[in-house]
Amino acid sequence: MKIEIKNYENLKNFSHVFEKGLTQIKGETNSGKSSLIRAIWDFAHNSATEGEISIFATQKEKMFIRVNEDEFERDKKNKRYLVSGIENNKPGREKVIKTIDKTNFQLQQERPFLVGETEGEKYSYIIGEKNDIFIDAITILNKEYSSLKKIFDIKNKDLDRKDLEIIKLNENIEEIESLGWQETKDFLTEKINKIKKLEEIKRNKKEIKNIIFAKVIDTKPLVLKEKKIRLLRKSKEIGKEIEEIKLKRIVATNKLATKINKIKKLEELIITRRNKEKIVFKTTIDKNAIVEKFKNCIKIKKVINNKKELKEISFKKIVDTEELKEKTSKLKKLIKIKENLNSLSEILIKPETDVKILKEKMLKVNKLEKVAKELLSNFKKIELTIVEIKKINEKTEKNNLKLKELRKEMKICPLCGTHS
Amino acid sequence: MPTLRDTLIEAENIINEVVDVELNKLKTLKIKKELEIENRVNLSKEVAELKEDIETTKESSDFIQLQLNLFNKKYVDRIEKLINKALAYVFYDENYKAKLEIKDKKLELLLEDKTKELTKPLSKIGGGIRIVISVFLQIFFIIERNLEKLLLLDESLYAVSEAYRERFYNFLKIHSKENNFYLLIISHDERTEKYMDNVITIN
Repeated sequence: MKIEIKNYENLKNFSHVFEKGLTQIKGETNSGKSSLIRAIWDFAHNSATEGEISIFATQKEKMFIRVNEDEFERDKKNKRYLVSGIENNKPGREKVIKTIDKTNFQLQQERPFLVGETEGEKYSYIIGEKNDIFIDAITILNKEYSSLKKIFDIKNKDLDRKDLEIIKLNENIEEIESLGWQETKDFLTEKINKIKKLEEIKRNKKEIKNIIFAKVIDTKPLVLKEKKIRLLRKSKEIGKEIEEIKLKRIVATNKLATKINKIKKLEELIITRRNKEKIVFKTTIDKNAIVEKFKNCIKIKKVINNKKELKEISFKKIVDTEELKEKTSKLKKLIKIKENLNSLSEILIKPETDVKILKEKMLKVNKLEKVAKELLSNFKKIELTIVEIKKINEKTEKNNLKLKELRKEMKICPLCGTHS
Repeated sequence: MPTLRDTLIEAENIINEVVDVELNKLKTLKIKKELEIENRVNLSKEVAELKEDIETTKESSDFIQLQLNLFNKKYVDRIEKLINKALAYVFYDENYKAKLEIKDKKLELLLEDKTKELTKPLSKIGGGIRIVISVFLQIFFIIERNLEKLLLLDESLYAVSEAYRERFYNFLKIHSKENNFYLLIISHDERTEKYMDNVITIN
C-alpha cells in the first residue's frame, strides 16, 4: 500500500510504501504524525479540503484502492480517487467494494473504542443491524397477533350478541305458542258446524224443488217439457257450480283438517311440555321427601346391618361358648391328669428326698466318726503322755530327794547352792 | 244471512290467519335455526380458527425471539472468545474474563477478575485492560463487517504497562499477520520499536 500526501496540514511531501504487520510511525511533535491518520480518514470519506492525498495498492495487496499503478497514473490527473475502492469491472471478475469507518481508527485523546459509550450505543453497534431481520419479523408477527386479537374479540362479541338474539327468538316463539290456539280452534269448529247446517238446509231446498217440479210435470207434462229441459240445463249448470263449490269446500275442509291436526299436535306438544314442567316441578318438590325417604332407608339399612352384626356376634358367642365348654372339659381332664401326675411324682420324689437326707446324715455321721476317732486317738495319746509325765514327775521327785540328800551330804545350802 | 261461499271465505280467512301465525312461528324457527347454525357452527368455527391463528402467531414470534437470543449468544460468544484469548495471552499472570450482557436492547461490557472475585463495567477498569479489549474489539469488528483490514492507532497504547507491553505487541503482531492487517501505530515511544515489523520517521 502506497500513500502519497502533498500539502496536507503539516505534511508537505510524504510518500511511503507500507507493509502488512505492525508499523510504528515516529517523529517529533508537530511533525505531522497525526496528520497522516487524518489524511487517511479524509481520503476515505472524501472530505479533504486541502492538499492532495493518494493511496494506491497493487492487486496482490488487496487494498481498498485496487487500481494498478499504470491506472493510477491516469487517475492522478483528476486528483481524486475512489473512497470505497472498486477492484475492477473486468468481465468474469467479481466487483468488490470495501470501506473504512470509525472502527478502523483510534485517534489521539479519544476514549477507547466502544468502552465509554452508553449501553444503547454499544447494543446498536454490536448487535443492532444483525437483529433487524428478526426484530422486524417479531414486530410483524406481533402486529398480526394484535389485529387477529381485535378480530377475534369482535367475532366473539358477535357470537355473544347472536346468542342473545337466539334467546329473544325463543321468547318470541313462546309468545306465539301462548297466543291461544284453543280459542282459534273452537272458533273454527263453530264455523264449520255452521257450514254443515247450511249444507243441510240447501239439501232440503233441493228436495222441495224436486217435488215441485214433479208436480208441475204431472199437471202440465207436455207444456213444461221445454221448460224442464231448460231447467235441467240450468240445474246442470247449478250442479256444476255446486260441484265446484263442493270441490272448493272439500279443499278448504282438507286444509282445515290438516291445520287442525297441526294445531292438535302443537297442543299436544304444549300439553306434554307443561306436563314435563309439572313433572319437573313435582320432582323438585318431592326432592326433600325423597331425601328424607332415602335417609330413612339408610337408617333402616343401618338398623338391619346392626341386627346382622348382632346376629353374627351372638352366633359367634354361641360358637365361643361351645368351644369354651369343650376347652374347659379338656382343661378339667388335663388338670385331673396333672393332679394324678403330681401325686405320682410326690410318691416318686419322697424316697428320693429320704435318701438324700440319709446320705447327708451318713456323711455327717461319718465325719463325726472320723472326728471322734481322732479325738479318741488324741485322748489316748494324752493319757499316755499324762502317764509319762507322772512317771517323769516321780523320777524328778526321787531325783530331787536324792539331790537334797546329796547336798546335805556335801553341806551345800539346798536353796542357794552355796557352801555354808 | 251470509251465503255458504261467504262463510267458506270467512273460514278460509280465519284459517289463513291461523296459517299466518303458524307461518310466523315457522319463520322465527327457521331464523332461529339459521342463527344457531351460523352461530354455533360457522361463527364458533371461525372463532376457533382465529384462536388457533393467534396461538400460532404467538408461538412463532416466541420461536423467533428464542432463535434471536440463541443467535446473539453465539455472536457474543465469538466476541468473548477472541477478547478472552487476548486477555489470557497478555495478562498471563492474572485471571481476567470479559463478558457481554444483553438485556432489552442494551449491551454491557463487563470484566470479571476471577482471582479477586470481582466484576466491573469496562469503563471502571484500568486503562491498560481497556486498551487491550478495545483494540481486539476493533480487530474483531473490522473482520466481522468486512471493512478494510487497516487499523490506525494514534498514541493510544501508552496505558499498557511495561510488564505486559511485550506480550501485548507480540499478540498484536501474531494477529495482524494471521488476518493480513495493516496496523499503523503512531508513537514516539522508543521502547516499543523492538516489537515492530517496521518503523517510519516523519520529518
